[in-house]
Amino acid sequence: MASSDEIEHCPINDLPELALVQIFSYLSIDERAVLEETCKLWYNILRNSPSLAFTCVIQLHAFVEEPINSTPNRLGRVLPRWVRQTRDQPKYMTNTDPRPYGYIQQYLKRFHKDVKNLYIDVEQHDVSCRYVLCQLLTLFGPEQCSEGRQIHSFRLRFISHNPLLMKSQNIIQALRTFFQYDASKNRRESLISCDLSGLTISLDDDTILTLTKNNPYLRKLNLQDQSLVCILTPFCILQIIDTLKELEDLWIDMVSLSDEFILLLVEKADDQQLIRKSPLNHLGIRIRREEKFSDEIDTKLWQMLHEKYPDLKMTLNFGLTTPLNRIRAYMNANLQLPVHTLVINTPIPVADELCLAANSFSDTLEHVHICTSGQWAAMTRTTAFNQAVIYLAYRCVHLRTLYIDVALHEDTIEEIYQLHPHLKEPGASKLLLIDSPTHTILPQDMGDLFG
Amino acid sequence: MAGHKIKLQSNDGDIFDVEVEIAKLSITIKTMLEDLSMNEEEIIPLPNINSAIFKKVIQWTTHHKDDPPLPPEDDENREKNTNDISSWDQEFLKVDQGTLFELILAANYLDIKGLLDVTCTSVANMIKGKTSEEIRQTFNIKNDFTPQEEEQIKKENEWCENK
Repeated sequence: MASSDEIEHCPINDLPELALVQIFSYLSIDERAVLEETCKLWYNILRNSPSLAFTCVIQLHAFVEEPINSTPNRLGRVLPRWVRQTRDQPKYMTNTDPRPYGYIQQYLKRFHKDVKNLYIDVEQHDVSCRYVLCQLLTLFGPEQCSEGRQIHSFRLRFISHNPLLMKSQNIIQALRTFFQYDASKNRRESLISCDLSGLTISLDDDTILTLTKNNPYLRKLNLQDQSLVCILTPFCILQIIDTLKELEDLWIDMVSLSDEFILLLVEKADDQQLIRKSPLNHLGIRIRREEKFSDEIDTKLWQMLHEKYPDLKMTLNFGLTTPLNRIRAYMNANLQLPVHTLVINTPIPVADELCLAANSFSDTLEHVHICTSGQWAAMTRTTAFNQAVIYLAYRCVHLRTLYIDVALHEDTIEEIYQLHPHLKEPGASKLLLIDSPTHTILPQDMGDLFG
Repeated sequence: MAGHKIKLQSNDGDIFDVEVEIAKLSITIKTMLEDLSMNEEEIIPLPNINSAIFKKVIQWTTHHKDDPPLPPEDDENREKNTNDISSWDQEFLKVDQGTLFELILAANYLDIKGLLDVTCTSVANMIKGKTSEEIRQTFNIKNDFTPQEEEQIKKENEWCENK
């Protein structure tokens, strides 16, 4: 049927270049390597479109070389073929081999001045991935970027399983180099948003102070790394507040907060009242087992904060190991915390605490996630818990999302949907008849958590 | 104002009655109506779109008319995620390549961000995970590189140790 003309016809390359650029922009940098080798048109688009580099999403996956199956290319050279390393057959290779990542490196070298948003995901268990990560971060250091850079948003995430692995001095060092680029004189070069919450290494004062000193125009900063211990000191956080005049959104651990922190914020608000601007509008606080050793909470201070920042919203995230009495302490209505997002990780039934939250945060609460780990779901799944969830849904009229990892009774789910019909919309809720834990903690790792 | 309609004409002469609220999902049409204050009785010509494609566009916009507006922020900042095509859209996009590409052009011309997003994502997904040879087969692209040029590109993209 088809004539030879139609066989030759190639509709995708009849699209205007702009449309192809648009299509390619949906692929991460590593996925773009094959595009250059497809045809001359695509090669030229990729080499000549700095706009494709504005947002660089980079996935560093672990690869193993496929020993057989290598096919010679048209000139007879045999090229290695790489396959993704699957999760169930981890390789315990110690030698570093960055060859599969050549395209990413060359791409960033070509366009490093154009990158505005840099989002990197790394399979951190793999030694080559870690090595490549460090090399890529260094590409954006002061030395390599002597002609300027313009990254606004930066996010680094570790994505492979083992959360507890970390011999990472090299990565911290590379991050410091990345942060050493001095944008303090030029607003256009400063990072605006920096998200380090996906790291499983402990961020330290030095690294963070380098970041804030050189990027004083930061507006969003997430320092809640996934390591088990937060080692950022109250001193460091005070410095951050002092340096970052335009900070709107901050995520930190309660353990690095101090009364001085709140006082400084209050003071800042007083200063800024003159220019009618108090930029901080979100404060995310994670509360974990360190709370065992904390002092009384100063109710007056928090009330003052609420007064000075009437528009402030807070996210409270209670870790798995937070003592119950401390959870209750922070849910005390007298503190007047404007909590709009509440995350509770629980190995223990938390029915009473939920009711308390429902009473204290009824005016502000919009998002709730009750996380459970596999082992503890059965303990949480009680009638009292079901009632508490209904009560929470009943009290919190502004509820927009509700995620619950534990199985609920059918009637409970029905009732919640009646109270908040919009929760039925996709993504708005997780209300199930079976347990669906967010994570499972291996017995051998428990010591680290509770120790 | 609900149900109020305007007339739009495709390039093969067919005239479509479309609810204003739906037509306004196209920024191009919205601008014509508001900024150029075109008379709503007038027939608005769409010289770049044929009837078959325009029908698809109306079908899509009608289904998505109540979607919350996309955050205005910047194409640039947004991280594009290729996994989240809704099942309705997946079904809608089960069309031949020619139609898919025409939809991209139409979405681009009419400036309908959501439709452009989902069509481009769909093409990106056809590219993902393939070798360059497989991509050429999928889209019927001719390999216009000489073996030497191929080798050259491979060389240019090899890992290179810093100093």
